[in-house]
Amino acid sequence: MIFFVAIMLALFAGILAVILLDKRFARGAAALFASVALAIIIIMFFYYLTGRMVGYSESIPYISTFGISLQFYANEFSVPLSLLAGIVGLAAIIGGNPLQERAKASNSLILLFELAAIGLFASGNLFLFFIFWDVGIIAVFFMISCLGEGNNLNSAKVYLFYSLLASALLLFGILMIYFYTPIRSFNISTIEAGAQTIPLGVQEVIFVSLLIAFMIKMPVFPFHSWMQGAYSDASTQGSMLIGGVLSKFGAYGILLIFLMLPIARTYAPYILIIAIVSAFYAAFNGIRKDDLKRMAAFTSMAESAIILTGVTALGAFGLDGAMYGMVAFGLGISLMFLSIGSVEFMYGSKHLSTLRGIVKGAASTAYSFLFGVFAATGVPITAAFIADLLIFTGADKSFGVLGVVPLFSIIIVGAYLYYAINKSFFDTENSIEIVRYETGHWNPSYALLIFSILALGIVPALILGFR
Amino acid sequence: MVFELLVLVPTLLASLFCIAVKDGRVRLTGYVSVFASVITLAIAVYLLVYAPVSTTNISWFTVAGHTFNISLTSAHINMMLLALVAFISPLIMIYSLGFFEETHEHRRFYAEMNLFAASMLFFAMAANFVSLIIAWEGLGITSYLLIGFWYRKRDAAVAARESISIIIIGDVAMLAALVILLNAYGTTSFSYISAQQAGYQIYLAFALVMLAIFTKSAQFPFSGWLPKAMEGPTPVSAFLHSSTMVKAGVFLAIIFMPLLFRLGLLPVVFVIGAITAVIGVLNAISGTHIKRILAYSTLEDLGLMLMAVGLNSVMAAVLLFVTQTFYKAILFLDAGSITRANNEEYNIFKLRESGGNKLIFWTAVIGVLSIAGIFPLSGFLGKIGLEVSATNIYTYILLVLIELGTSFYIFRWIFVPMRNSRKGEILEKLKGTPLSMVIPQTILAFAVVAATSLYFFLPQYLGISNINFGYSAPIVETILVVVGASIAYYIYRKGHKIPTNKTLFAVVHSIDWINALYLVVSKLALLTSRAVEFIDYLVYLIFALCGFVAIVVGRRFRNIVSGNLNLYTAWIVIGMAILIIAMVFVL
Repeated sequence: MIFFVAIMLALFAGILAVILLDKRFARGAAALFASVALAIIIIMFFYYLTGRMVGYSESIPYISTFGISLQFYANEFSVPLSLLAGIVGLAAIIGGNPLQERAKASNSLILLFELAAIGLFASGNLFLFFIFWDVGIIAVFFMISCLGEGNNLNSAKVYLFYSLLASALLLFGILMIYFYTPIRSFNISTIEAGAQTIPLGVQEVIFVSLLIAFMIKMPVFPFHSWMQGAYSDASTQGSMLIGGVLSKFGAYGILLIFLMLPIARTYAPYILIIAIVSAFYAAFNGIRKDDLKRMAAFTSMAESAIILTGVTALGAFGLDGAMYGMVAFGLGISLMFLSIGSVEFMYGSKHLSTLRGIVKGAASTAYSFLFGVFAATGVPITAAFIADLLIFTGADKSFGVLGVVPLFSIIIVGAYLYYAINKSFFDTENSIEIVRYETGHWNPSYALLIFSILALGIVPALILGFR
Repeated sequence: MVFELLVLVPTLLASLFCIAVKDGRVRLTGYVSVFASVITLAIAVYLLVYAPVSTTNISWFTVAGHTFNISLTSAHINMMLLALVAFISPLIMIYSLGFFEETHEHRRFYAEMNLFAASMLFFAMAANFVSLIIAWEGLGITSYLLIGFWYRKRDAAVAARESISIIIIGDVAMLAALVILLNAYGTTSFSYISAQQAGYQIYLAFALVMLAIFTKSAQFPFSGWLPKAMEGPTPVSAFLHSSTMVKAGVFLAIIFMPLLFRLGLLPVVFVIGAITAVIGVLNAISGTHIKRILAYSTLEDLGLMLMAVGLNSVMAAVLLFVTQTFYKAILFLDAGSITRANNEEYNIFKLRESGGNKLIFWTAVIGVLSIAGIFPLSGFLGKIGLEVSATNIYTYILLVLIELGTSFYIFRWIFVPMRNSRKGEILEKLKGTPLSMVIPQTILAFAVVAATSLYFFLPQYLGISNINFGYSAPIVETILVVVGASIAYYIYRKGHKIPTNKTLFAVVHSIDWINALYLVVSKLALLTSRAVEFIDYLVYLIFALCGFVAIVVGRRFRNIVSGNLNLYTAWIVIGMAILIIAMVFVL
């Protein structure tokens, strides 16, 4: 079986179809191929759940001189995260661009990004990891610069500068690992086995450079300045994918560092402190934001800090929790961005100061946003609750009470999100007029995302496995 | 056995039905909900009578060999709460049938109401922190939705937001406590944790649990949300104040009483309870909003319950807990019926015809007498129990004063609307109150009377020692009630001009202090946010500075690659010269 290759071929075929076919068929073709990819992912998921994917890998020789092959692993991280990318990608295609402005570009970029994301999460060696990393970054860059709005060019520039810095550091780190491991290899499992022999000083250099690269992508304080602009000026689909999937690149990367480099564990407490600072920093930054997308962006940043807490904690609870957190928060935040995008489409604004009484004109959007808030604040039976539970159990196990501190940032996040809901969604006394009427295209996407969030919240065994 | 879970099924199914039903058949949602709640009651009564005491563990998911269980118990005290909730919920559902005239909102109302009831039923059976927190946050979310049910009124939306902003503090604290306990003991089972000795981790965890209790039961300083929650529909208020939501916190405190005692946290509970009770009484005395007076009265009741917990008197706490359910439900339902007839007028000085419908009036009188603490009615039991358990004279004096205040405000509550003259239209409307709204009150009135018998068999059922009181306590109690009632009658009797003493009201009207506190907290948060945003700007500036430096440097060296051949030749010559010099001198 060649699951990952099949998924990527499906997505690639989708890109070709979108580019070659007429503009009218762009969304249909993209949705079709993304559904096919999602279907393959779900089949793979069933294999994974029933325990038939242990040690599963796909390998196609590529550059044999350097021992590089196209190698994909199916493990407890790659399969759920592929599912996340598949769901968010499909939801973005269906609901994110109601009028199909620049249909070919937007749809093909989503498919490209989804391909990159799945490739990255499944990649078995760092070479592929780096390639998919950059492909993803470029895809998102165009979502901001070409498809975005507002001050999008400047945001894209800032985003690109940060991303290039991250890429450079990532490449540097990868090459350092390659040259210092005894068996020169990009293969992640080989590196895991041989990383103890890397001299400590070199490990530190690798660790810091990779850490900064991934912290930029998560984003974590103090490398988050690209985030505000990128999240708020990207197209709705772009915001969904940045918040839902791209920020998980970084989280997954940090997870990889912790799995690969032995020295990372000694720095865990410091990273925890970064996570604590970042969580509260993001939460306090979100309070006074007028732009709903920026508010959601800082919510995403606070969630990233919580995921980072889980990664840092390691152990079964921390890692499972971090993985669960990536999926849960990714789904929740993309639901939130999608509903904000719909609001912006209908009312022509995404600002708290002007939006009033959305529930009157767009009930499904208002309730989806409310559900997104529930998902972000970790209400039970949404997936984020399980994530919070596991992450903080792990963090408490590893760090004691200090590990639980980031949890309290949720109080502030909840306070401002409920304030936003109250003010712009449910205050109907002087509600504003709809500019463009609802096309209803986003309703299936809402349904898909809400269903996934509920399913993962009620039956955690779907991801954690029926053990 | 999993049989306990069955009790949740009717309400959950009804909720799903309400969401799924078509717009044309909204009326059906009410009947289905009533039907579901009656079935729930039947199951709950069966469980109350026949269920053997046992704990059921349903494994939810497993991580790293640790299984997260949803644990349910059929311990007697849990079954008592279950039956109480199951008894109140059909009454509220029936009442809502008549209360809501416009039908297009029925679906949402009943869907949310059923979820609310299901959360509370689930809470009643919770036997570990995992199941507790599901119910706990479920209550928070559904109450948020219900308080903001009439979000078209701005006050309702604001009230909902304020309640959830406070409730979420408790939710997060509860999750933190769960995590700490899970790591410390490897289990979150109530029975296991209750048996633990004092230690650093359990102390911390229970400090957090108490925080959660205080937020959920609206104790000082988290009491602000409860009176504002009156903006929700009256059936919601009646449900929320009598048997669900706010009672959850107190119930948890009762369950963990022995542990809190061992940890030495009971005095804290007592002090917070006392402060809340005093706030409640003072505000109820000065209030004019018919429902808000009752809300402050609930604050007082909750404060009294926590005082009983703080005095380590289980029986007094349980008696207050149970009896309060009935009289508070009656009073809210009455208030709802009267305001409905008065076209949503809430000011007690402007309400008319409170005595227009005899059934409504007399059930209200029974509720009033019960809350004041007249001897044979059940409300009296809790008050007596508390007074008997008072450990020192100061506590006793405090309780006497609270008792006097209670008697005064509740008789004021019923006397003031009677002052107003009769007016035909409202009288007609009140007389024509639908039967579905009157029947629940009547049933509750009977329940108030019947609940007195709890004194005799509740201790045996729960296996706790009863409180004994002689003759003096009831006599003192009756005197207090009569004195309070007489003062209320003297001031607010018909035709008497009410003294308007502004300073007195300014002193007793203390809710504004709490709002001022919230204002300070939110201002502080905003200020912090402003500071953090400034830091954010600085961080961005550092990045921008790097970019700026790059641009400036680039501009300087841009001319090097100008394409000018002469310049290039010059550079080559200079470079070679440097190279030669370096080779000569270094080598």
